[in-house]
Formats: sequence, structure tokens, C-alpha cells
Amino acid sequence: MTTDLRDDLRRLVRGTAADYLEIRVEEIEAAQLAYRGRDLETVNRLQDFGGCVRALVRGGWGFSSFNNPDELAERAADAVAAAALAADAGVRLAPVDPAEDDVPLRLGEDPSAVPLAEKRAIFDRYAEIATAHPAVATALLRYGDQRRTTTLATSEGTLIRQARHDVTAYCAVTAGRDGDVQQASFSLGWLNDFRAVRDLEQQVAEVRDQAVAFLDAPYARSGEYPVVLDPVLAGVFVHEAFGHLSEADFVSEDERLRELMKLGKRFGRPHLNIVDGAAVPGLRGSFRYDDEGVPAQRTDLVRDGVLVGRLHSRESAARMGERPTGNARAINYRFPPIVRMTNTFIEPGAASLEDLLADIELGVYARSWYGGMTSFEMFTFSAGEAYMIRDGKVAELVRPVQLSGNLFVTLEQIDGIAGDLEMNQGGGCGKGGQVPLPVSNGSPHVRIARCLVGGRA
Amino acid sequence: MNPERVIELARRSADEAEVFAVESEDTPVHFEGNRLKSVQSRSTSGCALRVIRNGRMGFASSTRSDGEADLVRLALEVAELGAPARFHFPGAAPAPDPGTYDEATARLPVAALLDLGNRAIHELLDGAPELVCEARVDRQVQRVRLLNTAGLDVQYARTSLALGLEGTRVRGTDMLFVGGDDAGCAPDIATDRVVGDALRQYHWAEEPAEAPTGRVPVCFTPVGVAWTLMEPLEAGFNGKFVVQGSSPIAGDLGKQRYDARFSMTDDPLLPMRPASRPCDDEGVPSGRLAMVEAGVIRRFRYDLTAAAQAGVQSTGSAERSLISPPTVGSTNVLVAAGDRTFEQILALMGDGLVIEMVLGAGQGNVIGGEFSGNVLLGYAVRGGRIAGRVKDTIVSGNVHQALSALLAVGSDGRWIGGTLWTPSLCFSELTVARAQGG
Repeated sequence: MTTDLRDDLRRLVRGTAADYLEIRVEEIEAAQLAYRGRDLETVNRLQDFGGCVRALVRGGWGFSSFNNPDELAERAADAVAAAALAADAGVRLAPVDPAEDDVPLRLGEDPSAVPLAEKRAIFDRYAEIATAHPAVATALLRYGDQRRTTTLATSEGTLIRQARHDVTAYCAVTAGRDGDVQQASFSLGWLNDFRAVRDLEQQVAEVRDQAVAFLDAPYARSGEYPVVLDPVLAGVFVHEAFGHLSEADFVSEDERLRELMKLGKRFGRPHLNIVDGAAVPGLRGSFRYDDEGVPAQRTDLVRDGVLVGRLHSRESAARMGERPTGNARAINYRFPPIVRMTNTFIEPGAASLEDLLADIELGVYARSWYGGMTSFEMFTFSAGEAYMIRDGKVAELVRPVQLSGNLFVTLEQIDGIAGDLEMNQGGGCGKGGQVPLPVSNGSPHVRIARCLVGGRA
Repeated sequence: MNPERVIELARRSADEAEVFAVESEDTPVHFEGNRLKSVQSRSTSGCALRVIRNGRMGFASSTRSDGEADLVRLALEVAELGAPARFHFPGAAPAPDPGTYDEATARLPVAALLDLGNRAIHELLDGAPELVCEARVDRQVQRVRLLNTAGLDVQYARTSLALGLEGTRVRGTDMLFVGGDDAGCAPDIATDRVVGDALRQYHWAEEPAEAPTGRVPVCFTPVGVAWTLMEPLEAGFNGKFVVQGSSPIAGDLGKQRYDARFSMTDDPLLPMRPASRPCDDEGVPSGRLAMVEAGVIRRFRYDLTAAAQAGVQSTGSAERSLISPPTVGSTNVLVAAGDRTFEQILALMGDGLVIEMVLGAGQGNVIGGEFSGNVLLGYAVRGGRIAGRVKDTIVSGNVHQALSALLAVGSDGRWIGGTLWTPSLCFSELTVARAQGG
């Protein structure tokens, strides 16, 4: 972006008739590879330029997005007119200090500097590994990188330019025999660095062998079990089961939800601590400023088992009389920012994995992840890999299971937390049609005393 | 960006080229906490370019208004190392016009969108004052143009109007979500039905109840079919998975795989439906596709790529967005209605489970036809009557197996989300499990 454009933005936001106006202009460059079986299926390049204007007029939001930069002034007028239609919706913004900043992009190995042909050669090799077993019916491999440069200007004087470069790799292997089809997969991500993409042979081979092994594995019997989750799956659990409920935009709209999520309420045993924050550098959910220009922070959500904080945009913070936490994020210029998680994790405890397993007579050890969803009260998440636990030991492999439960019951049911915190970088979170938003989540191994496992009767 | 300029530039260096150009104006209005929250407008314009050069395919897309030359350069760069091109772009062919544009929808003032959302929320609150409502009204006007070096040049315009309504009730830690939706090309949203759906769910969920567990009869309402069964079912018909053999029904063409009461059609030519179109997103003329007739698998879906791999003709099933290359997709899907009223189905079930929404339905082995999830909204059936809402209950099964053991097909077919028409489907038995006193 040129200095000229920044001056234009500054002029435009200053001259507005709205109570608050913000303009976000983005430049996105992306490359993607997709394989089906051993065959390269598609290679894409993408150039995306666009912007959006968000206006607040007498408590109502108007929003307008566009591709043609020549339309900027016109679209700003549209957003103000739209906001006037929505006026008296009671929206207020919590105050923040205006920031002027130009955040440099700190790259490890620059993904844009790696030629497409080299990326292809790397994934040709992975596709070969993924399919190197007679029982493999097919594999799906995807690579993607996306550089997004955002300039944000607000009528309060904020003017921030920042960039990020997301790198993702996905591999799903399908094995089949006699009409039975089983799948195993991984989903990985990195921020601002290509390096790790070069060394995935081992992981691809493991996923392949896993899919084949599922063909011979039995289903777990559906029912309630003590369940031990590995750090990846426990990270998905904390994201789905608790993280979404701590997003204050939803809570702030409903009196009874506010009552339910009152700070000071006990959610778990005293060993449970849950944190979210984008201020840690180098994770997928990390950034310097959110999409409202609020600096990244670290927010304690649960401390010693008690609810102590929640995630806010400026709007939800004002509505609940709390402080913004830097969690207003938009996936791209086509959307206004909404309250989202960043890097969410359960803090490590004192136990070891062996301690967690020791007194379980019959249980399930669930590893890796396939996906997760929440309706606030209820959640469900899928393990990519599962084993029975028998007499305190990890026993036979079973087919992937789905775990579900009631949030309020299950958090209280966490009765063991190990010390081996790991962050999972492969997550893409979906909310309000904005998917996949880069986030990370993590946890040490945890034990849930009782959890509903979906397998077969 | 000018699509003609793109194809002109591409023609100079590529053996074949195709441009998919989209211009759209989206006007979503959003209500939260029972009142209007925001009015938005989203203007999108861009081009996707596919080129074939030396037998390889290149793809790039751009939304830069002056990006024609860069777009061609990127696509040619990709073609250097792209996948082998297995087909030629199709030439011009007469395409039917199902009618997808309604001037009245395009001209609806924002005030009318606001009115639609307000009305839906107030009607729902009249029937259930305890709910906190969210609504989304979205009007879209889209122009698609597809041209290639084989002489194809089609363009069409499409309007759509959609209403989504959701009500939430919180009592202590107990949460209930109810809702409905409708969409069409014309401004004739069935607000009554959307509100009626939400209210029916609200009343049926009034009392808590426990579902029988183990292998029990399970009925999916039309909403339940849409939420839970369609994704794993349709994956089996995807020509990509068929050609690789990863679809569990890949070898079943012409076979009686399902109960004879089950039939399913993909129809892009229904007038004024939001998924209707004169041709698919690769320019192949639209036609009605009878996928399952009386339980016999008749047709799979193919785009040009999958068709070339399978050695068959494209079924006109290509679907794409501006930024992604074409893939196999669906248009308007119709599941044939049966002869049982919903009350008759309940009586047939005796004791069982009725499902509207399942959380995490698409997370399992979808290609294998499996579905599994936490019942977000479902009702226990006791003695042939709805007994109340179940919680802490999970259901799992395989859609291809389940469809061969139908207990009943409802006569209650209707549109869900504007693009799926389905009745209730009741299976003889699926696995249901419940947390003890969860």
C-alpha cells in the first residue's frame, strides 16, 4: 500500500458524519496445491484486493465491502446510510487509545520465496508416501499459504498496517476393504514460516498406517467412560466446550446467559486454569492488534476453577461494562470483526500421563482430532484416533470416536491434568460464516472422569 | 475486471482458456437480541481463469479491478507445473433457462428486508415470549458470465432472498435452540412456515424426556434430514469418490441398494429456486438428474474432471466460487415423499427418537456414509406420541445401510433452506446412547 492510500484513508475517516468510522483495506496473495491420490488435482494462485467500511451512527452498525478501490468514498457513504437505518440498536464502543503503527512482518523461511515448483515437489513426495499401501483407496493432501496485509484506519485516529503469512498442510488418507472405508488425517499450520513443511514424511506415513489399521479395529461400544484426552484433542475440547462460551458477544445479548456466565462462578476443580491470548508471538492465533486496532493481550478465563474473564470486542466490552481484550477479528475484508478466540489453552498441571491412566479399569484414550462443534451448553468433538484403556494401561486400537457432553458437567469432571502442554496449530475456527479463522489451541493430557463416547452399541 | 480482455490476453499464450466472472451485490441485515443489529452491503467482482497449455491446467483468480494481465501471468505460471488437462473446454450449446432472476427481489428496498426480519421475530415472540431471537435476511443479486476459447459465452443473473430465524431459551444451564429458514429467487418467503417450524420445535421441547437407547427406531424430520443425512449421503454420489473407489456405493450403479420407497433427484431446472441455473459452472447445460429411483442407484454426479477420469459425460454438476476451481456439487435436491403422515410415523415407531438437529453430524467418516453426533434438538417418542425433548443423547449410523431399512417415508415433504425438498425419513433402527443423569 502506498502512503497516498493511507493519507486517503485518514482524510476519509476524519471527514465522516458517523459517530465512528473504520476502514480496512486488505491485500491477499495465496497459493494452494491439492492432491487426490498420487495425482496433483489443482494448483491455484489468488490475488485478492478489497476493503470495507464500518460505520456507527446513533448506536447502529452499517457495513459495506468492495473490490474496486475507486468506489471507496461511495461505499463509505453506503455504510453510513446503512448505519442510520440500524440506528438506536444501542451499540456503544468501549474506549481504547488510538494507535499508529506499522508492524513489520517477521518471517522465518518466507513462504512466498519458495518457488511453486519446489512446493509441488515436496507434496509429490508426500502424496506418494500417503498412497504407498495396497489398502489405501485414496488420499487427499492440501497445501496452502496466504499473505494478508491489512491497513486499518479509524475516525478516532488509529492507523495500523500489519501483515501475516499463514501456512497450512492437510493430509487425509482413506483406506478401504470390502465396502468398509476408514479415514485418518492431520491438519497442521504455521505462522510466517515455511520451514516445517519440508519435514512431514513421518507424519504422512503415520496417518497412512493409521487409516489402514482402522480397517482391522473394532468399534468402541457407545456409552459413558472415563476418558483421557491427548494435548491435541484436549485443546479442541477447551476451544469448543469452553472457549466459545467465553466469547462475550453472544453472552452479552441475553440476560439469562449473563447470569449463567457471571464472573466468580465455579466451572471446574481448583486445578483448572484456562487462558486465551494473541500476545504470544509465533502462534496461528497471534497478532499485534486485532481488527479494531486493540492491542493483543493475555486473558485469564478460568483461574483455580473459577470464571474470571471473557473475550471481548469493543462493543461487547461496553455492553458488559468490562475492558476490550483484543479479540475482535474478521477473516477478511468481506466481514466485520466479531469476538473470536486466538490462542486458547489449559495450563499444565502436575500429573503425568501414567498417573492419569493408572486407576482406570475401563476407559477410552482419545487422541488427535477431526473436528468439533458447540451449542454452548452441549458440545461434541471427534477424535482422530482412539484406544481402549484397560486396567490402567493403553490397550487395543478402536475406530475413531466422537465425544459429547454438557459443558457445565464436563468441566467439573476434569479430574486430572498432566504437565505436558502442547499447542495445536492446525485449527481453523468457524463462526458467523467466517471460516477457517487461524487459531491455535492446546492443553496437557487431561482426564475426564465421565464422558459420553459415540461408537457403536 | 473485464472478462473479454482476460480471455483475449490468455488466448495469445494458452492453447485453451476459460473465464468465470462473477459480480454480486449482497445485502444482509442482521437482528440480534430481538432487534436490528446491522445493515450490510457486500459488493464483489472478480474473475477466475483456467488455461490449458502444453497439456497442463493452470488456475488463478483475482478481484483486482485492473488485474487482467497479472491474472493471465499467474495462470500461465501455474500451468507450467499444473495437473494434466484431461478434457477440452466445452463449446457453445443451447442452455435451457429455468428463470432465476426476479426484478422485484433485485429492487426490494432495505426497509422491506428489515420489515421481513422484524415480522418474523415478532411473530415468533408472540408465540414464545421467553425466546431471545436472532434473524438474518439476505438479498443477493448475482451475475455470472462464463466464456471460453471454444466459443462458449453464457451469462445469467440470479436473485435470491433468504430468511434465517433462531430463538434461544436459557433456563439455568439448560439451553434450547429452535429455528427455521427459507430461501427463493422471488420475494415470497414463507415467513409463516419458518415461524411455525420454530414454534412447533419450542412446544415439542417443552417437557424433558428420555429417549430409549440401544437399537431403536429413529425418525429424521425434514430439518433433521438436511442437518444430518445429506452430507454423508451425497458424498457417496460424488463422481470423484466413485472414480477412486472411496465411495461405498461406487460399484452399485443399477443395483437396488436402498428401500424402494427412497428416490432422489438433482434438478437445476426448477423455476425460481436459488440453486437453479441454465448451465453448470463449467458451461455444461443443465439437466435433471435422477440419482436414485425406487431404491435403485441410477446416476452419480460428475464435473468435467471427474467425468474424464471415469470415462463418462459430465452431468453438469460442476460448482465453484470465485476463488476455488470447479468441483462436484449439487443444485436443488428432491427426496420423494411417501404416504405416511408424521402422526402415523410416530404410531409406527411406538418408542423411539425424532431428530431435528445433530451437533457434529459432519465430523465423522463422511465419505464412508457415517454420521454420528450429539442430538442438539430431538424428541423422545413414547407409545406413538412425542413425549418431550431429549438431551445428552448421541445417535450414530451409516446412511447407506440405514436407507435400506426404512420404517416409513413421510408425506410431509417441504423445502429446507431453499435447495433441499425432503419428507421425514424414519429408520427401523439406529444406535442411540445416553449419558447417565448427565
